[in-house]
Parts: sequence; C-alpha cells; structure tokens
Amino acid sequence: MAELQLENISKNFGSIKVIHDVSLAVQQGEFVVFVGPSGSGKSTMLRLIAGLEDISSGTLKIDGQVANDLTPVQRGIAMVFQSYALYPHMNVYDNMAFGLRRHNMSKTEADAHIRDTARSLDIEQYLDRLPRQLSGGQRQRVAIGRAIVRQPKLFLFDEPLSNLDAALRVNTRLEIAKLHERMPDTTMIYVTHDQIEAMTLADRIVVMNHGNIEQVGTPMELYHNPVNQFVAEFIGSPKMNIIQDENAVEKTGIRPEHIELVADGQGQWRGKVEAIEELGAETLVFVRLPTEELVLVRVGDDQSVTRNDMVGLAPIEDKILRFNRDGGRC
Amino acid sequence: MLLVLAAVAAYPLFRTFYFGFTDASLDMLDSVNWVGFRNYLEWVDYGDGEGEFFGLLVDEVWWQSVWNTLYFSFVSVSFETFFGLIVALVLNANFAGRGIVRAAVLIPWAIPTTVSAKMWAWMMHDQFGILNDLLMKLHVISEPIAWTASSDTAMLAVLMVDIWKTTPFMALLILAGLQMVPRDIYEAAKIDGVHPVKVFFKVTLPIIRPAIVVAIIFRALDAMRVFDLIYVLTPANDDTRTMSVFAREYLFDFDKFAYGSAASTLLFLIIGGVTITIFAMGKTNVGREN
Repeated sequence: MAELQLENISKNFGSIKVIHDVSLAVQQGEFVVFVGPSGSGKSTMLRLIAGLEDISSGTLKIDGQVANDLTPVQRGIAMVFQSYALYPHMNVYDNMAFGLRRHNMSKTEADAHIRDTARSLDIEQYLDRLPRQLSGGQRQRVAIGRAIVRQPKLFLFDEPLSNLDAALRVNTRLEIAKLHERMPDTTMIYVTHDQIEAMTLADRIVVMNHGNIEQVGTPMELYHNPVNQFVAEFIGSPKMNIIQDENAVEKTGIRPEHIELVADGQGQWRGKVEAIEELGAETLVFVRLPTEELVLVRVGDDQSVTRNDMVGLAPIEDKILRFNRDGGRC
Repeated sequence: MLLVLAAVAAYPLFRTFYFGFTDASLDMLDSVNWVGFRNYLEWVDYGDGEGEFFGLLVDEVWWQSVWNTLYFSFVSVSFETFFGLIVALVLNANFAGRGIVRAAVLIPWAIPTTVSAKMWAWMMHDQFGILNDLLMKLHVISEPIAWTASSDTAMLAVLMVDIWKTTPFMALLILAGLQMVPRDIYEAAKIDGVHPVKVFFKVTLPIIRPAIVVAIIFRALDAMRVFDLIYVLTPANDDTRTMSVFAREYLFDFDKFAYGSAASTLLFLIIGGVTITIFAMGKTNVGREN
C-alpha cells in the first residue's frame, strides 16, 4: 500500500560514492526488480530504502511523506535477506512472532495470524523447529513468513534465491510471483544479479551499473529496446552478440535467437563452426568469424550442422541494434 | 605421544600421590617410608582413653584454604565475566581507533603476574601507596588502610588485582563469541523494530552463551589454581591462603614434603571434581538449547 519516490538519492561510504543521484518512482503494488552486476549498487539501494543505511543526500518519500529519517518500522517495511537472517536460537514460531509483539495485536490474534501465515507457506508443521533443522528452501519460506506476518506496505527482497539450488530456485520464483498476486496492494522491491529472475518476476526492471540507473522499463522493453550496450548485453540469455564493424567505430548487436544459419557465401557474415551445444529443445552454435570474433547462434533442434563447417550468418534485419564506440545506441 | 604424556604428566602426578602416603621430607626423598593415610587422617591415642584426630582432613588451615580458593574463584570469575562482557560489547562496536583500544585493553593481562602483583602492592602500600592517598584526599577514608595485611581487606585487595588483571582475557574470549554472531541478524532485528536492549537479552546473549560458558570454565579452572598473585601480594595470610599456597608452604617452606604432597593430591581431586561438575552443567545447558 505504498508509493515510493526516490529523488536524487546519493550514498557515500567515506569518500567513495556508491550511488549517484538516482531518481525513481515506484507505483503502489508494483513489483520492481533492481538488477545489475555485483558492485552496481543495487543492494545498497535496497538498504537505503529499508533504512539500514543512511541516505547521504536526496529525498526518499513513501506515500508522499519524506522518509529519510524514519525507522524501518515507521516505513512499514519487511525484508527477506539473502542469508535469511533467521534468529538461530529461536524456533520458527518465535522467529515469526519476535517482531510482532510490538504491533497492536493481542496474543491470540497474533497467534492465529502466525498460524495462518505458516499454513499458507506450508511451514505449519515446522513451527517448533530451529532454523538449523530446516532445509534451505524451508528456511527461505520461514524468512518470507516472518516478513509477511508483519503485513508490510513495502516488501523488500535481497537476492533471496541465490542460496538455493537450481530446481528449488525455479519453484521459489514461482511462489514469489504467486505471493505478489495474493498481496496486490503491497509494493515489492527485489534485488538480484540474475536477469532471468528479473525478467520473470518484474513489472518493471531497473538496470543498475556503477551506482547509476542505466534503464528502467518492462522486461520486454529492455529486451527489445535497450538504451545501450550494457543493458543489451545484461538482459537476455545467452547474451547478445556484439560484432565490430569494419570501420571499427560502430558495433552491431544481435541476439543469438535472431540469427539464421545459412549456406556459406550467403548472409551478412561467414565463419567456421567452432563448437556445438545441443540442449534438446535448442542448439547453440558457436561460429568463429575471420576477425576472430565469436558469434553465438541459437537454432532449433531440426537444423544439422557439423563442427568445422563453414557457414553463413543471416541476422533478422529489424532485430539489429547499432551501438557507437561508447556503447550508446545510434 | 602416550609415552611423552606419561613422562611429563603421569609420572610427576603419581609420584606426588605416592609421596602423600609417605613420611618424605626435602632432605630424604630417596629413602621414604610408606605410612598409609597418616597424612590425611590419623587417630592418635593418648593412652589414657582419650585421643585426637590429626591430618589434612581435620586441618582447619587447610579447609580455610579450600574455602578461600572457592570464594576467590567464584567472586573473581563472576566479576570478570560481568566486566568482560561489557568491555567485549564496547570493543565489538564500531568506533575510530578500535584496533588500538583492543590491543591496549590486553595490557593488564600481558604483564607478568608477579610484576603486576608487586606494582599493586606498592599502590596499596599502607604508608606510601597511591590508593590510600587518593581515598584520603577524596575523604572516603579517614586513616590509611593496610590493604594487603589487614584481615578485613586482604581478600578484597587480591580480588581487585585479579579482576583488574583478568577481565581483558575474559573480554577477549567473549569478543570472539560476539564476532560469531552474524551481522544480518541485527539488521533483521532492526527491520523487526526490536528495541536494542531486548535484542541484547533475547538475541545476542543466547547466541554467545556457549562462548561465555567456555570462558567461565577456563577462568574458573585457572582461578582455582591461583598462586603467584596471592603469594606475592599477601604472603602467609590466613585470609587469602589458597590451596596452591598451602601446598607450596608445606612442600618447601615448612619441610613437610609428605603433607604438602597430600595437599597437592587433594587439590588435584577437588579441581578435577569441580571441572567435571561444571562440564556436566554446561552440557545439560547446551543440551537444553539444542
């Protein structure tokens, strides 16, 4: 139930500036994902919003009110930590109840609320257990449960899936998406370095790099129309091919799924098939150009190529992006 | 390994046990006679129907020493734990110059005990000591106190010096425990809006409790063996004589080697018993935690 406004937010650690004049508006009920490589400032942004770090300059507004000096509780925030940060000596029930006492809720109300939440997350049978007696996925649910019982206006996630194995990560991702559907009024901000999580969960993605916002947009906007080479390469998997033009000034960007393999002598480029990765539904073909650049092509399982074949590469014309020397679009 | 252990630990230990059952004295350790339990307890019949028990087990000075030891250990370790915890919490906080303060805090512990005992003996000197001087100027006392000699204050003096000296050690052990507490738990508590005092009692303290228990065990065992501080600061004083001092006096000063050996044997048994008790208590506590 919160609208969030960041106005020219900066953060310094000593003399090092880690966030540069960031401005962003988040709508109520929106699911916004901050994505970027490590050191991009995305986690710092989250901690500034949470109230775990002080804002060096700029204004943070929640529902139109300046929130720079409010405590996390006054901001109405709940947070799920990367390491879960469960209290190791308390059982699941107490972990969920610990922060709740302060809310204006009677003991029986709180108890019912905790049990409801536990049931909805399928952790009801673990209420008496200590965190170390739970698996990673179960701890994750407890961490989410602890955040939900507080009925936050603003729900923050700090790389919540990075300690889970691949299969569990997919499941939990779906559950977080469902959670957002169940809590349509709760604004959610989610930090990750994994662009697939960003693409699948976000209403809007904020791509960060070196303490700046590179681009804000829906997943499809970022995929089809990145503002620069950084965003183009960061969003999409496998990542976009960048091929230097002959004049060495401009570059061509084309995604692996937007290139067709054609007979040698046809298409825009030619090269030698260096490696083939057959993944079942699709095949990844690595083609070495005469300029030594490696181009990745994604083809269906119906196409047959052999290593060391000479092939032609035909990009789909309207999917080509052009970048200048500094990485900007042109 | 076992051989080394037998040579350096078992042999001297059992030789001490053995001497406890003999009439050994310093100048005739080679030709000793077995006397059974006479050093511990002996009924001496006066021949006229009356008699008396003699030996360590009915020696009032010995039991006074045992009591002094236990009293000293309990009080010093209690205060050291309390102050150590406070110092550790301060040292665990972020502030400028923390590294230097952490090192500086260890100084009392790093000074050899005999040196600091002598130092304090001077500070507590009844005529020239700075402590009396200060307290007189502040009008806390009206006449000088013979801190180390007076039977009212001798134990207090010993305790003060030991607490001063050993609190840093306690603080260091507890600090190590504090640094095991993951930082994000404090952040979770901050997000949960839990008051810092409540965080300390409900989160920090339970998590570092195993570290504190280990520190207390270390210190308690150490305190029960206390010797140098008391021997230097308050020699031959009934109010501060501990088991170790008692044993040393009989072994070497009074030339009653056998009696001293018997005392050493009892000292060993008492410390062993206390150790086992503390460990058993620690285990049930940890067990409840699990």
